[in-house]
Order: sequence, then C-alpha cells, then structure tokens
Amino acid sequence: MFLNHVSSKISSYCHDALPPEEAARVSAHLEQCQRCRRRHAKTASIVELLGYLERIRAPVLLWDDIEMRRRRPAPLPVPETSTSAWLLRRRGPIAAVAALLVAMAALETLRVTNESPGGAGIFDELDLGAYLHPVQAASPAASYRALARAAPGFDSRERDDPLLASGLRSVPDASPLPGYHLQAQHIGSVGAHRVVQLIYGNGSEAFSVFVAPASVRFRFGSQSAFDTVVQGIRCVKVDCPMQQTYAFHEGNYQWVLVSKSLDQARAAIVMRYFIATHQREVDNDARQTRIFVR
Amino acid sequence: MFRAETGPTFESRQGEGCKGGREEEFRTLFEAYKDRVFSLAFHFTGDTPLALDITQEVFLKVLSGIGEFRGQSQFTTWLYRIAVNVCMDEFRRRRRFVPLAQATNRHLTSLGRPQEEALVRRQVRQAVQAAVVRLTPKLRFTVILRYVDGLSYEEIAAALGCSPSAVAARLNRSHRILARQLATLRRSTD
Repeated sequence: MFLNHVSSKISSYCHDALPPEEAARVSAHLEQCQRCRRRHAKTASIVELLGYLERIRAPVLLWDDIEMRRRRPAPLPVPETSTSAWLLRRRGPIAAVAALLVAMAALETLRVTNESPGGAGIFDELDLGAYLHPVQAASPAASYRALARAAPGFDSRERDDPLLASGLRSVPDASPLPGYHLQAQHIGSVGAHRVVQLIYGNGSEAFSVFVAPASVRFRFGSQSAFDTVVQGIRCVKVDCPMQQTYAFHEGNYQWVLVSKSLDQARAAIVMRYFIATHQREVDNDARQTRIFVR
Repeated sequence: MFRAETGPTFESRQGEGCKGGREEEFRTLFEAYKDRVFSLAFHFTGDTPLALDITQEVFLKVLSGIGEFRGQSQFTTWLYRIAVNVCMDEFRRRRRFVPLAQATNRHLTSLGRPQEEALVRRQVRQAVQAAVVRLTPKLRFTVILRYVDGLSYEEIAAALGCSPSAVAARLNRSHRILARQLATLRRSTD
C-alpha cells in the first residue's frame, strides 16, 4: 500500500518548501503511514531544536583588527595551485626561488641586526634581550628592580596615565595572581604597532607581561627558545634556567610573560588569565576587558 | 527568523561605493554584514577566535575583490560564497575544528524558574551548536544558512553553488543525523 513513502520530502514539508500539490500528497500520506508519521515527528522536533541557533553579534573591535591587517605589508605572492603534480613539475624553479628567498631573509636579518642592535627593529620585530639579560643572574631584590623597569625603547608611563593616550583601551582590574598588583604600564612602538608592557608586583617579586599584535615577532637576545606545553597551554619557553619566560598567543594577540621566580603552575595561571581575557572580549562580553594594542 | 534586511538597491549602492574605493562605504558595508559573516564562521568552526580570523579574512577579500563583483548575482550571494570559501580553506588547513568546549549532549532538566530556564536554553543552544559543528562541511553550511540566516532553498543553492533539490537532500540528511545526535535532548525538551 505504501510503496511511495515520503521520508525524503519530510524536511521540505516541515519547511513549507514543497509545491502545494506535493505538500497535499505528503500530508495525505502522513495520515495513513505510521512510519512516515514517526519520521515527521522526529524531524519536526529537530527543526524546533535548530531554531535555537541564532545570529551572533560580531565583536565591536573587529573593525580595528581589520584596519590593522590592512596596514600590514602584503605577503609575497603564492602560486594559486598547490597539487603535488604541479610541485613535481616545477621543483627546479621552486628550489631556486626558495634558495633566493632564504638568502634574502638572511640578508634582511643581518640588516636588521646591524641597524638596530638590541632594540625594536624594523619589520615588526622586537628583541627583548636587553631587558631579559640583567634578570638572568640577578639576586631576588635586584631582579625585582630589573623586572619592574620599562624595557629598553619603551616609554615610561605611570599607571594613572590616561589609558587611551597610551594606546591601551582597557586593563583588567583584577590581577592575574592573588597578591600581585598592576604597578606600571609602558608603551613601545614596533613598526606600525604598539606593544604594551604591564608590570605586576607583590612587593618582593615582580613579573612583566608584554602584549602585542600577532604580527610582531619577538626575539630573546642570545637566548634560544623552544615550543613546549605548560599545563595544557601551548607556548614558547625561552631556554634559560635563570628565568621563567614564556610566549603564548590567542587569536590575533600574543603575550610574553617574563619572570624570575614564578613556577610553571603560577606561570600557567597568568597565561590562562590573559588568554581568558582575550576570549571574554571576543565572546561579546559587555565589560570589554580586552587589552587592545594599536 | 532573520531575513535579509537590505535590498538590492542598498547592495548595489554599497558595492558601487566600495568599487570606488571609498572608505566610508566599505565601513558601512562591513557594519551591515559583519554579524552575518561572523555568525556563519562561528557556527561553522565552533571557535570564536577562529571565527574572528575568518571574518577578517572575508572582509579583506571583499575589499580586494569588490571590483570583480559584476552585480549579476545579489551581493549577499557573492559575500556568502567568499565566506564559505574562506571557511573551507581554513577547514582544509586545520582538517578539523575543535568542538565547542562546554557543549555536551546531556539530559537537561528544567526547573521552571526564569534563570534556570535561561540556563537550560543556553545549554540546549550549545548542544545544538556542537552537533552542527560535527556535520560534514556541506551539510553544516546548508544548516547554518537555513537556520541562522533564514535563507530559502533557492538562496542557499545560489550561495553554495548547487541546486535547490540538493539543498533539500542535504537538509533531510542533516535532520536524520542530528536526530540521532540530539536524541537525548529531544526527549528532555519534549
């Protein structure tokens, strides 16, 4: 009797997207066919559940992020197709271009190093070596002073300076760690970007957090760095036993945490704090507590 | 359900303004469509920072490619095609997206009080979002364009470059899959 089940039409039927005569046929079939009726009930409940999906408002600062990306220099052109056959046919020219690019990159690195030793260079690169070096072998008291000062090239601004004038839209009121307070904020320029240094202290220990757009590259003086995972957070650790310095990122922002005495557990708390601050903002939190650098 | 609030006149005016390189016109266009693009990216990826990156990329592509927009299709159709392509590029790059963190398909109990009802609604929404993120990309786009943007089968077909009957088949298949995935939820909200 029911050779022509209507299961393939049920979604369209629920959406009222069938021509009238087709809808009438489905309706008549449903009255007689228990199997299709069950299917219709299931689909109707799913349609109702999918009604919970809603349009989400984009974060208000999205335009600023787009403007920031528009101001970046255009990347080198990349071939449109990338199949293995294409690569295989052109492996000779590609190898030559790659060698040329490597040579150019090496030349550029030398040029940056020569033009701006130890400081904020061109090409959106920031070398924290001059800031990190004194921290390495310092005593606890000396390291507190070393960490609490502005990094070379950064303007010194007191905490009470107007936030907008410093390029910092807002700073979270709460501290990343219990007992620590925001003591100072300093501003540095790296290419077209601003980098903010926040200093937190508890009277005997201090740590710095540098906040920068993702397009800024950090260097750490003579120290090398390696990828690692600290309590579930993917980050880069500066390879120095005398300090705890981690670079980590989220979306279009990145942070570098410089400390002398924070163990991994407390470093992870600080990292999570800044990542969560960023996520809270992009999740349309009305409090707008994101640190914004421009 | 949300329907397009901007007609062809607005679209063509915006498109022409952007072609002329006027900053303000692009800003107006951005404001008109940013939520639409961000929502599509968010529901596709289930990841807010990634959705932000995708949204930025879409509008940068719109800005750089507005000269190629011929006006033969609706601006929104062109915009959706760019958004879908950027989402797919990101999908191929990452192969999979991290599902929504807190979304679980668990049994929900409504206790009737307003805050608790709001909490249950939020949990249901998160569970539905998480289930949608697990669909294949083709099914996912179809569901998002239908249920988040309220597009007709024809509009979805134009945006995805397929026929309306393919849209109907994809929605039918999506409903079957989601019915299995959200079985517990269906029972608890009945």
